Amino acid sequence: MSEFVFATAQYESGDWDSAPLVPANLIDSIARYTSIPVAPTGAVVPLASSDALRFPFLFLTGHLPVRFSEQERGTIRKYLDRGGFLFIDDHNHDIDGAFHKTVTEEIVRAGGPLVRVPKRHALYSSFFQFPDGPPNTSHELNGWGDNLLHPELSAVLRGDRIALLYSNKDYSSEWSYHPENKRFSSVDNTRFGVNIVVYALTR
Amino acid sequence: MRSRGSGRVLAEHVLRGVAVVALTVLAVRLWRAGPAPGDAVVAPNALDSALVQWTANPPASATAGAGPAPSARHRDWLLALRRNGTTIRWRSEDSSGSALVVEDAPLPGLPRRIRFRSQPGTSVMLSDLLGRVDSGTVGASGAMAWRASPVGAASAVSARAEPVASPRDSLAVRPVLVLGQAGWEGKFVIAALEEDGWRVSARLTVAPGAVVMQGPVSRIDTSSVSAVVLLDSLSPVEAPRLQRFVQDGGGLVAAGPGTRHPAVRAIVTARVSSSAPGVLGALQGPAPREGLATRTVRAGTPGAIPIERRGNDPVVVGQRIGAGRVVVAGYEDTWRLRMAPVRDDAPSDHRAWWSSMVASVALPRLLPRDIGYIDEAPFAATVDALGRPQLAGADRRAGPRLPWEALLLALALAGLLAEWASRRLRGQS
Repeated sequence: MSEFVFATAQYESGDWDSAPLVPANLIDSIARYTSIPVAPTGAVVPLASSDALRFPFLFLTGHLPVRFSEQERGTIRKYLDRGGFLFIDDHNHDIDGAFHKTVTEEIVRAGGPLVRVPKRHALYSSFFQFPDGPPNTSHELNGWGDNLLHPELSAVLRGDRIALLYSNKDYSSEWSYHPENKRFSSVDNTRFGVNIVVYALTR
Repeated sequence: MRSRGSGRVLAEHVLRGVAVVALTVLAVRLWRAGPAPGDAVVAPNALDSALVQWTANPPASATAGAGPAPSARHRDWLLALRRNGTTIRWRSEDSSGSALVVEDAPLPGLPRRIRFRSQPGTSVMLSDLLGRVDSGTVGASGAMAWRASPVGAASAVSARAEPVASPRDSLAVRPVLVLGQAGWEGKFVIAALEEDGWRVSARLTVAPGAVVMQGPVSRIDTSSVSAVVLLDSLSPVEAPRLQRFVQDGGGLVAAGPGTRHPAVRAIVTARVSSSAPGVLGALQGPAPREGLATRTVRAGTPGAIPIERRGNDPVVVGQRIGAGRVVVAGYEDTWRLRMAPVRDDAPSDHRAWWSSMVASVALPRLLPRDIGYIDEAPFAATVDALGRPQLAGADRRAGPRLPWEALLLALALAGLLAEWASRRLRGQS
């Protein structure tokens, strides 16, 4: 049985590597809380390459404007249709920000319309329980970015399955720290990341 | 001593006598071959009105004329007349019979299987409640097959018969239970089966004591599950329970690490080799399963049949155990088939392969249907009800025979002609 590999999508525009510690942190959480075989290091895969299909879970983040190439759009379309799971997070936490405006356009163009994920969705109970929907980040609570609390996530569906999950809660900042520093937190804030991975692996 | 002239006269008398005897025998034969007193013979297109008439005034015997085998309604009516004392016979143009069968497909969501049997060369038109579905000519094998889902009963109209058929029972398949570790293999196997119409329940282990569940199935028995797909070696399935499930008719597919599950070993005592890598680049080629890592499977129990091989080594093995069936597939990470980037048909191939494996073991539940009017094999049903037919144009006696009537007539004519010629040559009128 192959291991779960946390893969980060590398795209040609923008800054795809803006949250370099997120993969290691989530890999640590998956190994810590679950018995899912997980590769100890993540992978980086160009979105324009068909190699992206070898990794059915992809993480994509950034601050800067995003314009996917035709090849990248084609890969995303095929990836979602075949059962891949793409998690995109807005590293700006700003609905007026360049990343949000451009990436949502690109998502609709490549994958289809974005719909709200209701708070009772299986995503919020796939491993840990989040009865109030997506957990808020410290960046939202501290009033950074657009100074808003975003109560819901958005998604592109294939059937009733989330194929692409989009967040503008800035989990990229929230989870971008060395895993060893979890011991200083009373509650591990990466637990929702485990839910996302478990959902991707089981639905 | 008789003169030459008196001998010739004697010969003329003999010839005249032969002619008279031949004509007499011919007349008697024709008299006997005609309908018996009180026998009513009717053509197929007049059978409706004849049945009404025979019911009002029953003849001593009646014969339904040559043509297609009588329909079920006519057959029942003729049978009622026979039981009322009338001798019923029927004629047919051929004794090959025609039959039509409609069955549900073995996989959920697929069109039904329709099969027609008749004499080679027979033209047939397939229809359903909404009208014509297809038409064709029966080939040399005498069989035709369609994949379609007719609305209501299907009928196959030909010159020989008009059989009508619909599925006698519905092939209801209970859910398939997928057991495994949370991972890409379980996710994509579930997706493939669901996309092909199966109802899938799943128990995917995420952590000790944490299981992601899908669907309503809570126990493994043939009243709840048609097949179990086992994808890992650690799922908490007890061997005796799984063994009883298979013995009772349930299906089991063990794949990847699932081939090494103790419960599977207890059932098929399969010896699974260590993993061998797939052929580099084969995932993009015409035989993509060659690109998967595999384990050779050698079943220790008798009766195991290799279904797929890599080289000479069996990698998929099937076996009947009790009333159930087991397939052990040594392929690993079959989800890679679906995500092969170059081939556009990769998802459908992956779907079809998994669906066929599960279909080959799944226990179907046959539910009788209210099928209404059907007449699947009119010829056979008529033979069953009224006995064997008289072949049209044939004598009541079986076997080939000489054309006696023609011979007798020719003999009479030849005798008279010879007698007349002899008299004329003698100078007598």
